[in-house]
Amino acid sequence: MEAILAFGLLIGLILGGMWVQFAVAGAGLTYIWLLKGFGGWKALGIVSWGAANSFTLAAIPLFVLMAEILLGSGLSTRLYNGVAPFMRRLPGGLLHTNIAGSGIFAAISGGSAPTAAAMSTVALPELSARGYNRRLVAGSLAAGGTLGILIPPSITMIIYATFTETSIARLFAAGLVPGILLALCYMGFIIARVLINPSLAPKLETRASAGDLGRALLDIVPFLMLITIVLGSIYGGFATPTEAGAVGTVGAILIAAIYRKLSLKLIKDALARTASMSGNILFVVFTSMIFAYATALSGIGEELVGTLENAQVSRLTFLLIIMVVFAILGCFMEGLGMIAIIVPVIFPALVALGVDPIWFGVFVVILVELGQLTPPLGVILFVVASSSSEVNVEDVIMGTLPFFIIIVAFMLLLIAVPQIALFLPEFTFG
Amino acid sequence: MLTGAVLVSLVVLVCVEAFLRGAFNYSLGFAEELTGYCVVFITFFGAALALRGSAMFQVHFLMDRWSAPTRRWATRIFVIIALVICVILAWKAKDLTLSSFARGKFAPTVLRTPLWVPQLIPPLGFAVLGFFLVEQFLLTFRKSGDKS
Repeated sequence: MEAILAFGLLIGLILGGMWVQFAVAGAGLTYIWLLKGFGGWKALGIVSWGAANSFTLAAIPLFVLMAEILLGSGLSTRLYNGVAPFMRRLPGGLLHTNIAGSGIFAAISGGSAPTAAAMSTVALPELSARGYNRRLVAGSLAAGGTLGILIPPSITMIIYATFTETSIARLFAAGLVPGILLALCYMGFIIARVLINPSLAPKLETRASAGDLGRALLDIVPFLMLITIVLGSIYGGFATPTEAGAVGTVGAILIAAIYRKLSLKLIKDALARTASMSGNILFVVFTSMIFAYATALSGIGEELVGTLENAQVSRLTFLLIIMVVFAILGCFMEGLGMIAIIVPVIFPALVALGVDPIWFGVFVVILVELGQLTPPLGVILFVVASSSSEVNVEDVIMGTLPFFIIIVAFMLLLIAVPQIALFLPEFTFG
Repeated sequence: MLTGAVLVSLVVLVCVEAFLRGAFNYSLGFAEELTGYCVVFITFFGAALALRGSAMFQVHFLMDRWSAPTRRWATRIFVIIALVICVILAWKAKDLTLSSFARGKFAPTVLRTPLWVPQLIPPLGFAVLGFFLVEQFLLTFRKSGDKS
């Protein structure tokens, strides 16, 4: 009963328009009060200090800063132009650049919104002017943007790891192969769509010369080096994700300097945006820890295990239920909050059903991706739509629909073949 | 400005630690501790910046359908609830700080930082958040302002 009241209050406050962080804190405080009275708040000081004082969470502002420096310096244009010559001959031409460019930017950015913004601002005006179908352009950009949280580094994975005490490095390794495969699925779909209906994309006949490819490669190389340093240092065990984030930030500053984009204004703006964005994310984590403390006090996780055992719910059924729950919640809840609220409740059940927590981390991140594409709260839809006057939100939603179906199909594949996610962490870390 | 300085310190501190550990197998011994304090600072003061810049996560789709007066009233109610939450959490954080001060607790690290010093950040952070919430409340009385 207390749980229903607390979750009801949480959803009511969020839907009503209250700031998500305060809604979570308010619901958490109410939940504790319902369970233990005012005496339950006694430990809040130490709980909240423990929640905020974290070395691991320092990776979040560092990865945000790294992406903000690259985004603010306008280097996404260079990345886009660098990828384009390698993709243009495929059926669908530059639409593949949206996916591949997003994939590369995802590997230097921890979030989906910066990834979608980086590619959309460059690609939307360019591709619309060249006669590409604008819904397909918008859909490919939104779908590409979702790779931001799946391909490491990923802020969503860091938060999942914080609440489940799983290894961030293993999670980062687990997200890489599914991220690349999902990008290939998107590209396969674009090829199929354009082969069926060639009017969706102009055919580019001109072959890029060796010189063009060489110059394009020079545009991508710094980004690839940054990816190698950041991910290589984590996978190689040389650095923690937090250290990799700091080194990556310095790398991003160096790249901006190499391309003569570095200025005091760039750094100041990047710092200001990072402070606000990181505070926003970290405060969600902080308030969610209070809610997680309440759910731990209530024992709802253990109750859920008992209920599932009594009902003899299989692993597959449970995962399908989770998919439905996240799909519904994703319509009106922000992804990070969703993980921070739901995962602590269902985690004991996952362990009882023998679900690998690393695999589930990837699964849940893809679920958050779906939420980011679901109206009315789908953040990526709005990022893409606001990037250019050429498209409106309806265009983006319609364009995203087939990619949404691809993601759902990919999740079912991930359930059937968990090794897609587990192969690399097992290979890398044993 | 101060939050930006903390961010820069965070980058420098973690980079120096990573370099020293990687190159000379030497650790500063206090990087992890100070990094944690930086995170606490960014959590509260970054959130205050997000609140002031209207960037704090909010679901608008229902609110946008309401009339301007209804929206203003809803915002006022939400601000009051948020202020109550801030006061409760600030109070509890203050209790922890005073307890650490009274018991003379210090961090079990090379710096042996008196814990009440970094533990001042959450109550101060909640105070700043509360200040900006009051600002949001006052903004709802602006005639032309419909910032919420």
